[in-house]
Amino acid sequence: MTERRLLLHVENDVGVLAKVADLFAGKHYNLESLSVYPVADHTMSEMHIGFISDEQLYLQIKKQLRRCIGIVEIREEIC
Amino acid sequence: MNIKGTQLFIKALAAEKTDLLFAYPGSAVISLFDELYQQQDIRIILPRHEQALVHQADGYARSTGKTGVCLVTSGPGATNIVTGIATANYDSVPLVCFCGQVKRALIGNDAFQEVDIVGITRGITKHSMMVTERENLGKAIKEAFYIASTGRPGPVVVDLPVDMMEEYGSDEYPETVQIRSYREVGAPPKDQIKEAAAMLSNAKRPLFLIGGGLKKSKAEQRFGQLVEQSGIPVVSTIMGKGGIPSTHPCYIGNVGMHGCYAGNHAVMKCDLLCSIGCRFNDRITGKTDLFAPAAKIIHIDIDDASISRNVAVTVPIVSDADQAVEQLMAEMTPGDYNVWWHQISQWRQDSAAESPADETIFTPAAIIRTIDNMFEELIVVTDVGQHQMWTAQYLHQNDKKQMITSGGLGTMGFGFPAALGAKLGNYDKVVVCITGDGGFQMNLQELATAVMEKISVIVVIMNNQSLGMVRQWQNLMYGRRYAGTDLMSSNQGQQQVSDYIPDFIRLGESYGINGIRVSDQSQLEKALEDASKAIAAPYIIECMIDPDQLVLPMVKGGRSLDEMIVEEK
Repeated sequence: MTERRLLLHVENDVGVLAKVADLFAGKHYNLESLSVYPVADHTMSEMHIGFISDEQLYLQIKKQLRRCIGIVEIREEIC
Repeated sequence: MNIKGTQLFIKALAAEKTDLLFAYPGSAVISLFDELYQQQDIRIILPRHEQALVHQADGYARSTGKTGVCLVTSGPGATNIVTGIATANYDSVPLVCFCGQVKRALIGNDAFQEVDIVGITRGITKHSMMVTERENLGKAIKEAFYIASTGRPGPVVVDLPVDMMEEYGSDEYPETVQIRSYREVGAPPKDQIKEAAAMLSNAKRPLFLIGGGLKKSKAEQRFGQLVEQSGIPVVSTIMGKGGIPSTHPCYIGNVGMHGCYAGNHAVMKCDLLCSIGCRFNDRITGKTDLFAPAAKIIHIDIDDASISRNVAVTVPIVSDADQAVEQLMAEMTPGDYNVWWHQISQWRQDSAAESPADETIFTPAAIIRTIDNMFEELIVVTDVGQHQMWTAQYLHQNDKKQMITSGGLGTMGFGFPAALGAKLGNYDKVVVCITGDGGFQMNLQELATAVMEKISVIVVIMNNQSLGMVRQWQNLMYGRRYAGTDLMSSNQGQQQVSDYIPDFIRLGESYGINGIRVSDQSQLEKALEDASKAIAAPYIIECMIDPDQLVLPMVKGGRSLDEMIVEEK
């Protein structure tokens, strides 16, 4: 189990945060840290999320985030 | 020109070529219904329950390949379609579900008939959204249809506040969409195709495993060519059966919990498993640690998140199935699989338990085979339970015979309304609903819809007077303690009735529907003949079967696929 951090570029819109939170809650995993703030023209937000997981879950979460409509880009951050 | 939201809604549906709208009214959609009343192009199907409504749209979508469109009111109207949305989501069925919503000013106030349907369905839809600004309505509807039907299809919920729909705004309905967070799946990656083709060329015991995704991609024809060219044996999931004609010599059968003997053994002994459009659900794999222990796995799927989720994969190929099959065909050189085929033939011979010797006995297998033999072109829609597994086992499938079933979610009550939807989309084809006495009762109010809309579906109820599949588990694993599964008793078996309730034939009569109760083979053939002559009305055939009939072979949950129960002790 390793600490992971992802930076998501998301639509600054109702329900996008809930989608991300639901994905973790649905897998019964805890988000360790979270910060969200609007960027540029306020149509987008940056979302930093931190969690602890093994490699397989990490890969799975990235894939599932990638298919979430509302999440434009996913970047890995070094812990 | 400025028009009302309700008018734009009609315009949008027409642009999306929606000819059928499965709709149930309520206060939050009354203005939409008023608008629908004033047009003739879209036919409104009024069910008798919203759960049935969404299953009807689902059956229509699965049988036609078009997007099913639903309209329900807020609150209970919306929550009643939740089961159907989850059903469609699991089986990747394109649906657009419009839900009325309370006025924008009341949202979040626990208003009358208010629920957060977008929140409720977030985990069971491909996408869900509320349209709060009239100016976004056209774009939102366009996006909903686009998202539902492209990539891996799925249901989309669009929540429509009633006052927004009554507001005037632009009459423009966009022709294209651009969603910056929606990823299109591209062509299959060349390197992985090369690697997969080399593995297929070198394998001694290769096996194709086909799932529903192969059919969704319309890859049947090309896959047939690949099988012809390579001579590689094929097994399927329930959703994948028919991806190659089930009479094809290379087709072994279904795999999984109720897979065939030879198919399950083949998975356990193959050295290369090439899966196309299957997500390795637990009903397919049995215990995942023990699944296909000798095999490398090639996994072709349009959904990245389905790959390496349940089983570890050697070569992942994220792509449309048809394109991947085409490229694999161009790259691979078939090997010599004689020894492998000899082994498979041996397993086929060993599986005597799967072919009942006496076809004249009124067994579930005989019922399915009789229906199968009766019609050359057929859509069979099942409910969920033993009859579903028997149909999956014994019904032949090909380009003219299709089976529609709730595979992933296993939703009882799905069968009958979905059959009505299938018939609405295929008036020229025979549609048979094979259902159980339990599942049929979960949505039998739709008999009224069938009569009112003149939908001639043949309903075959396999009545074993019990909830057969759970009873089967109780029989095999719980010491034959039939808790809650005997539909002829109440209070834990303390009180018994002598006649089954309801009398399905008399119930049908009250709807003006003809029907017959049968208990042997010849009666069934005659009944099917009569039923197929019934025009513009459903027909009920109630087959009385023994509650002790089991679906075999069976792999108990959490066991390896080669640990099959093949006969009753």
